[in-house]
Amino acid sequence: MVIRLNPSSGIPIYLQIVEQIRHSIEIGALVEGDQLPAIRTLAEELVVSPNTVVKAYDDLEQERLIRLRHGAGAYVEKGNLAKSRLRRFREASVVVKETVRKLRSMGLSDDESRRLFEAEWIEEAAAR
Amino acid sequence: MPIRKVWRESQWRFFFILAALLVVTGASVFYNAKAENVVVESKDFHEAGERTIRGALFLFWGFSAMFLGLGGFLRERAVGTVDYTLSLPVSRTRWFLYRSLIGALQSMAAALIPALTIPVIAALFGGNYPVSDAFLLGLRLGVGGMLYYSSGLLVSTVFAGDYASAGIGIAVVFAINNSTRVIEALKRLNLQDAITPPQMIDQSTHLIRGQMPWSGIAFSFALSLVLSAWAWKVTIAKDF
Amino acid sequence: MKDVVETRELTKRFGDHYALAGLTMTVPRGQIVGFLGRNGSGKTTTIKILLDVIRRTSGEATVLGEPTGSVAVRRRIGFLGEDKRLYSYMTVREIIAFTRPFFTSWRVETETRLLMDFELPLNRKVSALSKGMRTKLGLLLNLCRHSELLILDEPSEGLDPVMAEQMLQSLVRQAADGTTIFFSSHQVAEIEQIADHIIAIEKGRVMLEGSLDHLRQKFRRINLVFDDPPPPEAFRRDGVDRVIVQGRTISILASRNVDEIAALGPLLAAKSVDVQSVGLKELFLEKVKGDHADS
Repeated sequence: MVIRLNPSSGIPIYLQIVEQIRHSIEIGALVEGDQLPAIRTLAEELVVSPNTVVKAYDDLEQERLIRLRHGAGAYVEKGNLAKSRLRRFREASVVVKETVRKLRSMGLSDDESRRLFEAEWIEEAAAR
Repeated sequence: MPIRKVWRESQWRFFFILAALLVVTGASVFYNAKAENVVVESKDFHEAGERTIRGALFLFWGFSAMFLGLGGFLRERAVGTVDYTLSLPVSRTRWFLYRSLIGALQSMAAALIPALTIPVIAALFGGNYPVSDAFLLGLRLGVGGMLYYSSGLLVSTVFAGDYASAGIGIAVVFAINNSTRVIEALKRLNLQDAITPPQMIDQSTHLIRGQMPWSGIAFSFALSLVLSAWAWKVTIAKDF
Repeated sequence: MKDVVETRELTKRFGDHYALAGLTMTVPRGQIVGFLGRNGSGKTTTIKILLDVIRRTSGEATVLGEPTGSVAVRRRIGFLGEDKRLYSYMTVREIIAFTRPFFTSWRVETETRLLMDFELPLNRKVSALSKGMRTKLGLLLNLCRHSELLILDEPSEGLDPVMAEQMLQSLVRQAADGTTIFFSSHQVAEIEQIADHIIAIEKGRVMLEGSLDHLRQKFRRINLVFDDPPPPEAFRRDGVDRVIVQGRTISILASRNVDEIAALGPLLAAKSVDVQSVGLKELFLEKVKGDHADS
């Protein structure tokens, strides 16, 4: 598992780790049963604070993507698809929010925007 | 061990000074013996010995003792290690105690050892100088002259820089010696006289006779303790 | 105890210059805390006061619950100064043997491991070591103590990038063992990399403080582009830290109410609205400029 971090981006490092591990699971680079490095080991490898790794693993455990075993590292869990979906919804709502804001700032009314979307979906469906 | 560190940092200086004083002592004994232009007779080394301790050894040792007092935290700050030393779990008082005691013992040795070589030199040339005289005069020098050592100790806690503190220390030793030789009111405080008062030495045999007054030495030693305490006070309060 | 270091209105005066002008901060236990500040902002002065190398003018400072100056506390902490100078006449072996007895928590396994990892020649005198090796030796002398708190002043100063990374890695490893790390640096990048918590100091006072992640999530830069930009006063609102006008762009640094402030864009007919995260360097520089603008 290759994790590449950008500590200066303004995005909390633990979130970057969570995102990359989640992505690895989603694309199948990590599968159920795979072992993740112990907190201390990953911290040393990435040269980040152990507390950062703890936060990341805690988040992933909360999402039921991994399970921590005391003293025996962490393992990728099954049951991750459902949560993944919830995640995706959350992310999508952020995209929608930003798009709405952008369209409004461009001067479009909500009705005009809705019509644009409908047009796009119909076109998409017709193309398939 | 902290005390070993303190010793190590001063040992070469001490050995160098001791060697220099041995040379000075030896040279002075021969100079004084020859000056009488008499071939070795047991009496000559008495005069040469007494004169040496009172004269050359007193003078050179005074400056040496002052030098042995230099050093301390200001020196460490100049070298860059003061942060490390002060961050260790050893109090400033403990460090000061180690430094001042080792330095005082070195000063004492620097007085006693050269003094004790005089009987040896005398014996090597078939002459004689009583070990007891050498020991007592050397001891009196070391104790009475501790003031020089304490001056160095105090000067080095106040003034940073090897040259600055050495220069000022030298000036202080000069001041102590000359002011008490020249200024009438201070003549009573002359260290040379306190250490080897004329009434203690038989003028014809040049050996110790009769009573040995300790009050003059006790006074200068007490003064040296005051200066040392002052140096300690400065050390515990200073920003490094 | 929750905080391993605490200062309250700490001041230090040198002549008429106040190196510290009322510094109030806490270093939370079990975290890696970055102490960020420009040259001359008071970082080294603060650390020297914590170690009782210099004495404070007024205010309070405690380390591990005890007032600074406690000899007993120094048995439980480690310190690596900016100078990184050690006794030049001792060999590596001798200085380790000199330091070891002071600390009951010293672990010989760590000593053996680090001697090997750092490739330190036991019989070489400290005066013959390169700066990098001296730093590693200084680090070894501290890491073997496994102390509760490790204070470092510009730890990667003078180190090449590889050594600097090794240094950070050693600190991270130590943190994993439970040591609280408090290190000062003027290099934002390394603080951003390993710190959990930061304290930014400017002109002898705390300018910015908090969990690094919290600051990352709190601050946003909002860039609004206008054909005809309104005056900066139009954007003065709760949560706005700084407003900069750059041609047609109004750039706002916001610490709160980001949505509300961003909504000002369309309200005032902005051509475009862009919300970005803010890195520590940017945040620090903005705060310093803002500090100067206010004074």
